[in-house]
Amino acid sequence: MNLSLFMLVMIVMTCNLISIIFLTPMVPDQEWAQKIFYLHVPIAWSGFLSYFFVMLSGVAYLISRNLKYDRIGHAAAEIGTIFTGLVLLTGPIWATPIWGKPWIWEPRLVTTLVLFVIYVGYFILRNVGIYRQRVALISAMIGIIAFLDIPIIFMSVNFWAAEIQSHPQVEMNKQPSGILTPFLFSLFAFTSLMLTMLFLKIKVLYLEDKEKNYV
Amino acid sequence: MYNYLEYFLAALFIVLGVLLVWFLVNMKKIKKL
Repeated sequence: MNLSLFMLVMIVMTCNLISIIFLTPMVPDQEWAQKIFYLHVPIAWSGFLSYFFVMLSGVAYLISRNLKYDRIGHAAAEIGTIFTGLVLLTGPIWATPIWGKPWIWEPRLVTTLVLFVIYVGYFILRNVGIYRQRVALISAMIGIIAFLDIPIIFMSVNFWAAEIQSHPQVEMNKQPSGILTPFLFSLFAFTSLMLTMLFLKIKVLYLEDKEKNYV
Repeated sequence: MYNYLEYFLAALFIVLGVLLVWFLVNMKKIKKL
């Protein structure tokens, strides 16, 4: 991987953390708990973007049957799952003081958990030991089908009745600018971190495939 | 006034810790391969 790209992303992430800790305004009632939002939402966005790459590379694999696309899909699935896992950890940390309990069975939480569990299944499948091209074919199909959950997660806040929602429904463009700018910067920082991780992982998988003579 | 600082720090360290472990594992794999 390009070392200068890696260093650049590390600098951006450091600036992002400084901005979150020192520059963002304190929101009354939530105080520091609100600042989890600058980590939680960009991580969720990056994870979903990563799953979008899984879907795209799944389609590319089904058309071309080139293992290169399987490696891209595998790498993106791993990063997406790590990010979704982090979303499922940081969410309850925020909810514990604000909602009074870490987890409620609310549409957006449940659909995100379903997505995470689908991808846990995806990785179990990748490791059952059937031959390489078969794994790639089934993984591509799961990657495409699993992506259908993401529009459901996005729409879940509007899709189900308002009475069963606990999610904040304030739109980003209605947030004060003191919150919006650092939030957009955090979004940029986590997206570039995700892309760097993706490049690194694709290289690792390429080297692994090369060692096993698949390339 | 209670400021919930420990919740923010918990979330921050979990995120940074998981990402750090991921980078260390994959950097090691790249060196080995």
